[in-house]
Amino acid sequence: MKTLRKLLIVIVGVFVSVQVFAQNSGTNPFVGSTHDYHVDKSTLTSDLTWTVTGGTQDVDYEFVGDVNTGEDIKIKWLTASATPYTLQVSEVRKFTATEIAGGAPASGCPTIRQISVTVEANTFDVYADLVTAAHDCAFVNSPVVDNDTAGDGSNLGDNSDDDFGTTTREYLITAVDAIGDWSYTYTLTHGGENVGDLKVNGVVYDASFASGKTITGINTPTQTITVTYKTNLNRQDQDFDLVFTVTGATDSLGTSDGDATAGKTDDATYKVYAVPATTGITTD
Amino acid sequence: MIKLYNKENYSLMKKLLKLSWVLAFLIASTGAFAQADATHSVGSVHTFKVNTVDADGNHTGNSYTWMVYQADADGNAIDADTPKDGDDVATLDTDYALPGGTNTGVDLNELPIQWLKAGDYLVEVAENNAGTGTCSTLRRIHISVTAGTIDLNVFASKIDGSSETTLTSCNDQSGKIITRGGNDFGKSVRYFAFTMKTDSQDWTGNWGFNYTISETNGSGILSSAVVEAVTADVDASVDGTILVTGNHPLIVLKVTVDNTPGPSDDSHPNAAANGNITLNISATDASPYIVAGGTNAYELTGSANNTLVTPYVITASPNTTDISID
Repeated sequence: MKTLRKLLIVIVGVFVSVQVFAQNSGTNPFVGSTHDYHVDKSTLTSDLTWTVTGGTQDVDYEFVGDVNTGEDIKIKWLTASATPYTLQVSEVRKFTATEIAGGAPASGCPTIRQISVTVEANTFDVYADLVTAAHDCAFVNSPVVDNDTAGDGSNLGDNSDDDFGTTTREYLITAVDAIGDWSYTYTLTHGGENVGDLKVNGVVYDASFASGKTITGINTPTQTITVTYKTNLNRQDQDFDLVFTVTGATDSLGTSDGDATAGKTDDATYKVYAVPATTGITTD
Repeated sequence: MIKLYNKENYSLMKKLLKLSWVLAFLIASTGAFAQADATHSVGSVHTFKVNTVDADGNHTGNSYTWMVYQADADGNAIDADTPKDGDDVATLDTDYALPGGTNTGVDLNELPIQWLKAGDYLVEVAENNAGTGTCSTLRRIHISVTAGTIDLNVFASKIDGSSETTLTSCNDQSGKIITRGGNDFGKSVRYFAFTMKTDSQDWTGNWGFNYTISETNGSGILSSAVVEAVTADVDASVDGTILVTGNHPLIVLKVTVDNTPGPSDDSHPNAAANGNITLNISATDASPYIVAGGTNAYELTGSANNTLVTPYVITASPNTTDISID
């Protein structure tokens, strides 16, 4: 029983925490985020009209699709506010001609609901981190085996058929304050060097990467990107910068990358120093 | 359900078992025959090279560090210490020597190594990029060092060590006047040259061997031979032993024998009266050695050319008596 009670306390605690730390909600949206707002209409014949006070339309906020009527609307918040905006919805009865003739008030007897919306600075941020030392040598098998591919000794002392190993660099992509799944586009630069058998997460890096790759539906706080290439595959590699750049990150609310996290950037750069493409040792 | 132990299955199992043994043996054999990349002889000097055939060029400006490690017969590095502290390096000037004096330097992509002791070694080179890069690449090669090609070679020679092709010739007194009143038929001198090589390279260090002289004529074994060294720095003072110092891959020994006059009965070479002396020298089997790294490395048992294939024959002069007068 005691244990069960403890467990319950823990569970309650977790829920409370989630509540406390929930951000980018409809009442505390991030700049750039889009939120849904909804009311259930009465059973009467009526019109619903939504308004925002305390800000200028299309400057501080916009109704997505310019729709501000109906039970469901979407508002994209554009500017952070020191004083809260007020979102109002007014349900106005539509009296029939007979009722109007019978003296029904022209005002339509509106019912007004409102909530206060405080638009906050966008702390949604997707950034890239290095996982290992920024400056490091390429990986090389130690020692490198002198392959005799032809089987007749003709490839001994030659490095063209030797496996120098696979160099790996990892990037950790982190999303802060994302609501729901998040996505981003990335580009990878590798100094324009003739890097052999370059792969990103096991996929061969080809021309399709040049304009950026988009990864969608990420539902974990972080994601690891693994870049590999075959060391000295095309003989002597050169030193180069391996740069991973995040662009166009969004979360499920359409919030764009706020770049608000101190000390973090969208790009992360490894300086990869080449290892010598030493040939096999020959002796007389 | 299949009965596992019915008769047919049993015989099948037996066959499978046999096959497994064969396979296991094959695999084991493959392991046992792991060979070194090259076999070198104790004392020999070999040059190790990298980047001489690299299409990317000669890697100018890169620095190289060469190391020699101890290995087992399969070419695996040895770490015999407790606690383990990494691959055991071979000992400079005991296991190997560096004729070039250094094992590290810029553009040192070729390194001569002299092997001093039999064993298995790994020669390793670390190439470091020039400039900002401290990145290195390691290569290793497995060398088996044996005494296999330490080779003493004997041949008939002239005093200067050049080859002597006339092996059968008159004794040195032939044609000279025998001193009247005496019966001294004089002495003959023959030269034997010895070379010492390892991996077909002249051995410039100290070396030596034991020998026996074979000196016979028709009446049996003679023992007049006196061995002296012609070449400097050769110690022949102890009978049956030669010690060479001071960079002489080729030495000449002078053997002096007493002539034995008599008929030169070539048609009956074993006749007791035959005065021809057959002279040869043999380095004792497995006695030739070189001094490498302070210890002796011996030529293998049964090595060839440790004696003359065709011995000297010192042809006798007639046993003419002193002139008597009436």
